Amino acid sequence: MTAADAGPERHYRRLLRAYPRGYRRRHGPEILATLLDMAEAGHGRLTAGQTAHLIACGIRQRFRLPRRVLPVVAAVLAAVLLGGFGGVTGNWLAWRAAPSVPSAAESDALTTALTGVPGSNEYPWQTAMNGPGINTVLHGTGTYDAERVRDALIADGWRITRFTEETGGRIVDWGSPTEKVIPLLSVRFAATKDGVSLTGDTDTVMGGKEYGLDGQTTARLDITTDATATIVPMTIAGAVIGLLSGWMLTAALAYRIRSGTRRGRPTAAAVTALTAATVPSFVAYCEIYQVLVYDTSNPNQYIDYSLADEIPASLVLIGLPIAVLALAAVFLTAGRRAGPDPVPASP
Amino acid sequence: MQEPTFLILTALAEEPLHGYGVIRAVQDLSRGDVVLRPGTLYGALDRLTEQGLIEADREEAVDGRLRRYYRLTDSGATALATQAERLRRHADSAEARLRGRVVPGVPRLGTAQ
Repeated sequence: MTAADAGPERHYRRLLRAYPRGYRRRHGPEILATLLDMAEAGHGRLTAGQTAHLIACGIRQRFRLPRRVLPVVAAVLAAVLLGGFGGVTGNWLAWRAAPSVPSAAESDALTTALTGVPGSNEYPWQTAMNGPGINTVLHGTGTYDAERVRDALIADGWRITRFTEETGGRIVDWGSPTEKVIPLLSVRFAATKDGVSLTGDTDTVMGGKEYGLDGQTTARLDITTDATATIVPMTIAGAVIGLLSGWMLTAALAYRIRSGTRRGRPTAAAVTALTAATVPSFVAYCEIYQVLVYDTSNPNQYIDYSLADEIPASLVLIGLPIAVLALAAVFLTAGRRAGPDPVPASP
Repeated sequence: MQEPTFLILTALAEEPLHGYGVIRAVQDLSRGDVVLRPGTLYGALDRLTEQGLIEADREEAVDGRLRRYYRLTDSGATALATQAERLRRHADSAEARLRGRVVPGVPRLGTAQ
């Protein structure tokens, strides 16, 4: 290799990185020689179009499978399975970039400020689109003060979008001659703050001292992060990346398995990985389905029913690590030869 | 069989060639109509090797450049001969049809009046 070759050679080597490693090992030097031969023969350096074509050929090579039925079936399965995991990962990443809901301590402080009663219980949950949510429930004894509720929300930075006061009653001794309705005052409200929505209500019993009900206060807050514009696109993008990755991974492993003489173990490990990933991936697709069909204008963000609910969580918890371990086994055993490795030829 | 594949097999019919040798031969054979790009060439060489139509003949290192020569296998020679025969038949049919082509206002040669 002459000194004049060094510049173009470096450039061509960089371009060849578009090809998979195994292919580069087999054909890299001869493609490089051909490119240098072409340059020397007066074709000059590659044009932008030729460069793009070479890179496109390298990327296409990453998706190319051996001409056998098994690798094709495995590639389709792997693409479908990893598509599910990719979609869930994309969704997870999108929510990481979205605003978060208040912490349990912050929700507790807000509920206390609203009602003047401490000691609420917080329950984190996830919306139908897998967004963060937190539920707060408080039971105690306090006083009714609608303005305190309004002031506490505003002081905490919330923009009130709905605020109504209602009257009601609590029935005591129901069905008996002493049945009585104790008045109840309620505030129902909704508010937003920096991409987070809150709905809630407080009820305070006004009277019924003889029943121990006077001042009995209940408050409920439901705070969720609003679905951002990136949730659905990132879920779909994740699924597409997962599909492509599954296909590429199978292509790489298929050639690696084929290059070895011991193909039984890696093939068995690959079948195990695909089988073990089936149930977790199905659950992932159920999640994706919920994300895609969810009506973001629906005030009730809970999932009514998902097919994934029928599947025991243990199957997912067992299936995933088995799939990962089996995949690791494919990497470790693929390409192995029965005898000692041949001594590489000196350059 | 696509035209570049046919031309690559034709290029290798006489003697083994390395990558750039194939590109030049294909350009000559097609009278400049087909100029293979390296990406296309090596994709085709890989596929043809997998199909058993060509195989690596030898490797030579010249000025630090590795040149791998490819040769046509017996199976490749048969496939090329079959394709050449097929193309010849198609070409003959095309020529025969063109000879009998009716051009408005011009009587066909050899047609009885």
